[in-house]
Amino acid sequence: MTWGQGLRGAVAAVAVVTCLAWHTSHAQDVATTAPSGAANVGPQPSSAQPAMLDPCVVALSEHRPGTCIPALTPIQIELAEPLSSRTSVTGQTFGLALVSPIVVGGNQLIAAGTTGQGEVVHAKKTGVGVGGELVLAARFLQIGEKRLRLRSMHLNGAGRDQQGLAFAVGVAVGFPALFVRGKHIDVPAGAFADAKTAEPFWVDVPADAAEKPAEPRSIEKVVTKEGVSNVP
Amino acid sequence: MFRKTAISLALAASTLTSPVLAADKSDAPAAPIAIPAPPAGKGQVVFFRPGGMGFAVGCSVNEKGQKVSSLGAGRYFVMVTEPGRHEFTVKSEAKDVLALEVEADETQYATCRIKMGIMVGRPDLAPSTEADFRKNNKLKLVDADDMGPGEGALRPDQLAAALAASAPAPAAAAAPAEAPAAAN
Repeated sequence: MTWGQGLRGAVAAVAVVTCLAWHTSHAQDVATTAPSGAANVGPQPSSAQPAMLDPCVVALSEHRPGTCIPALTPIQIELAEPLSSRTSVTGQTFGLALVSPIVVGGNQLIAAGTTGQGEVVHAKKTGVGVGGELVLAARFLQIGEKRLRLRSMHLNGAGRDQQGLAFAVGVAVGFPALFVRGKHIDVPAGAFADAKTAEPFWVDVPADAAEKPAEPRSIEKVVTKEGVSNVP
Repeated sequence: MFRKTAISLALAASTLTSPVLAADKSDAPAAPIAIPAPPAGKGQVVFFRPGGMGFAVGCSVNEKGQKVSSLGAGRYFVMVTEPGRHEFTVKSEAKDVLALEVEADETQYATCRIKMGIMVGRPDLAPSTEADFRKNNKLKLVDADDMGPGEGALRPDQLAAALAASAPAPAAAAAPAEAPAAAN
């Protein structure tokens, strides 16, 4: 090994370590500047996941131009189809779309309207006096060939109970009380729900550099993350 | 005759005064129930059962065929578990299943209701919210004897330890936020 080869190896090692340190410090910055809704989620869920390479760290070490979307970035999605405890079944998938673009450091990385998929985790029809149940989970956004995994979708619910009515009918006329049902839970197409990104996601080219961004929908919440800058 | 009248008066007096005493008792502001944050990388589900109809019917929460905990009327328990899909069951004359997607570092809520059955009330598990849980501020933690043998339900001493461990967390979390500012 010549002196030149040794020097080049040392420079490369220092560069990789610097990139790792930069990414770690920025992840902490993002965590501290995240909206209050994301404040109580604690550290990134990496400990619950099998050990895998962080795509952002890999991209940074390869000096690829682009920007990282940190894990647990809050987003808002809308359902592309109606769901109901009356008709939905456990395990059924449904379409969803991003309501507002994902913006990091002033750059729009993923356009509003990007589609993805969710899953009905639990669906149950109404019972005697009790309402229907529906538990939904957002699974991913399809971004070109890649999938951005999602988590923490908040749109669960149970339909209104009619226990009081069922009990009253039971006391008054007996058996027919078994036909008093609770209310179903119906989620119309276009209903908004909150979710989060489940993993760090590297975007090679900002979406607004490739195409005109879609206008954000008429809602107040626009996701921004200060403190994350582009990689030159 | 006099004895009957005295007994009637005593009964009437007790009937009239007991709601007053109960009201005095209920007016005392109940401290909000503290729920600790789940351990890093784990999720947790808070199961609760408000009082009301069917208080005598049991609601024993099971997962994978093992009892996690009983859930009497007016009780709650916290189950710490791995993230992912979980199926919980309760059973009396009919079986009810609730599937939840447990997320890492987050808390979810589920409630047990007793619905009408043919012979006896049927427990029914349903997804719920923290707001609904907070409405029932007189819930008590399930006794340790009624938990298990399935894993996950935090015993009273474990819950106290988790609360003690998570109490200084906000101060510790605030420190890194100030560090970069100080560095700048």
